[in-house]
Amino acid sequence: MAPFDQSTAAQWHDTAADENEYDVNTTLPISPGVSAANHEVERALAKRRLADSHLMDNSAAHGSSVSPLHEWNTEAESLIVDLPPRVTRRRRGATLHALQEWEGYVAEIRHDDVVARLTDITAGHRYESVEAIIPRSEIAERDAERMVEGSIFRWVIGIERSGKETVSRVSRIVFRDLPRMTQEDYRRGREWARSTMANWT
Amino acid sequence: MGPIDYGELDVVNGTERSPRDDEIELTLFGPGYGESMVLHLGNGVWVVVDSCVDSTGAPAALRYLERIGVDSAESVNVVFATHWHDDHIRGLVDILAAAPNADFCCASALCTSEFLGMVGALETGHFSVGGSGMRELHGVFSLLVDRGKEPIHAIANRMVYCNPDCEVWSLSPSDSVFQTFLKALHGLMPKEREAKNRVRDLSPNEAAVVLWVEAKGTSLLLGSDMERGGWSLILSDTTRPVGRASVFKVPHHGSGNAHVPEVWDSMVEKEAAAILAPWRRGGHALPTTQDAKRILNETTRAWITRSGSSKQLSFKHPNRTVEKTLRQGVVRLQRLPDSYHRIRLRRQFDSSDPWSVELFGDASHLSAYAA
Repeated sequence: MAPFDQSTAAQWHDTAADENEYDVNTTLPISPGVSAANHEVERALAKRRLADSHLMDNSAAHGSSVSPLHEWNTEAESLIVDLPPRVTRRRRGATLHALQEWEGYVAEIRHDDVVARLTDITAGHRYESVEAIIPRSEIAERDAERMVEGSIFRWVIGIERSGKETVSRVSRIVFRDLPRMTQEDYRRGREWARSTMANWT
Repeated sequence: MGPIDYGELDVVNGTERSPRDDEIELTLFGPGYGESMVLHLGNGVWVVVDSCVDSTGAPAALRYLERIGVDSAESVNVVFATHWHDDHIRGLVDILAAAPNADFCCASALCTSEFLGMVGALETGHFSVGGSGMRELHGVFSLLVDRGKEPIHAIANRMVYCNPDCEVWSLSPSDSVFQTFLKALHGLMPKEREAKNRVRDLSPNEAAVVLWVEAKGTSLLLGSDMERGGWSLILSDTTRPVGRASVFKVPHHGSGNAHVPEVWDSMVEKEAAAILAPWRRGGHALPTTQDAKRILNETTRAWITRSGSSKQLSFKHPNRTVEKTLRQGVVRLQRLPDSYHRIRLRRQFDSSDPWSVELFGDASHLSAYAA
């Protein structure tokens, strides 16, 4: 089999050396649905494009291996987005062509495995369409230690070309470094609650 | 709105027409992703209770009403959110957006500064494609502000909607549950520097809103996901509306942790129509076979929206390379139900006749599920 590459988020972030190392794909299929739903997707798309451009700027400007997600969290609070940029990582001499990409969240942690719900990113779904039972042995130790119910991960299955004409199927589960709660988040929440309730008698 | 594919709503043994003005109707949808109901209270007045969606994200309630020729914008008077589990609120914003005149009713505990503060703090910067229940509720409350409307607060024994022909009462949550809920919120809210993960469901969900509907001599009990502790509080409250329901939406997908014999004995008619939607996660299904048999001991007139839900739906990826990779791996995958099925109950007002029951899609008598 093509074994699970238990690479962690760090491995994904270590290739942000320069702008040319990213193929940024901003195309997201829009599912049919009611107009409000489309509006939401369009809004998310616009934000994704904004995030993509910011990511490009960051990776070009810093030329470092710092996680783009951390960059957003600390430098661009006002640009926090609903969707992450969808990128095809291209290491020097290695490319990953994603055939299937899911976003998953941990619904239940059990003794030997984890129950997760998967949303099909490739198909542009808004909601989860697949349930996965993942043996705990398939989850990187670092991820397993910090995993809680509600943790979000990406699962990519694709073809990796590396070195000279080496092609392999890969399957990677990567738990994402989500933004951390800040005092600003709490303040914004309180303010939103206050302004909402101010409309009530 | 684009063209709608009604393929998943194919009729098995029901026929499509809107109810007459003198007919009361309760239709239960599920699963799809969750559980939802629409209720006709006579004279073209509809309410929606919770929301579930199909794989495109379209709410079942809106699709159904459009299909039978009901204009949601004109006819939906109230939208209820009985609790904030994802499987009950997805698509709620779309329903409310399609019903500009509708009021919105939810548990009073969801209208507190504590809860709204959590919604406001977690909605923005959420990196999940599907968002979370927080985002749905943020959309609902923001829409209400835009419309200058205030949510109706559901608490124990409050009439939350009425017209000359009918009344809708909330039987929960009680004051004591209110305080418990606020304490539980602190456990759900990420601490400073903790990751903004998806907020997990609160369980047990005693802050759920149980609804009691009275319409011209007909009573219905809609049990939400209320579990035993909440039912005990409802039963002990002597100020609740009296009467016995001829329809019971069985709580919490028929789970044993929501079964209280006294509810059947004192709040529900003998041989009442009982309806429920199943639930499944990680190989565990509700109701269990034992749950189904227990319900059938209470009434033989029991139906479920999907008879085959105890069976897993196999997953096969259309891309051969992906499929091969999956088959060689150790992760077990199964499809989630992506279409909803429904049970429709109708009866003429002031009638003592049994409810007419129509089943659509994979809905069936509960005995087929128990078998």
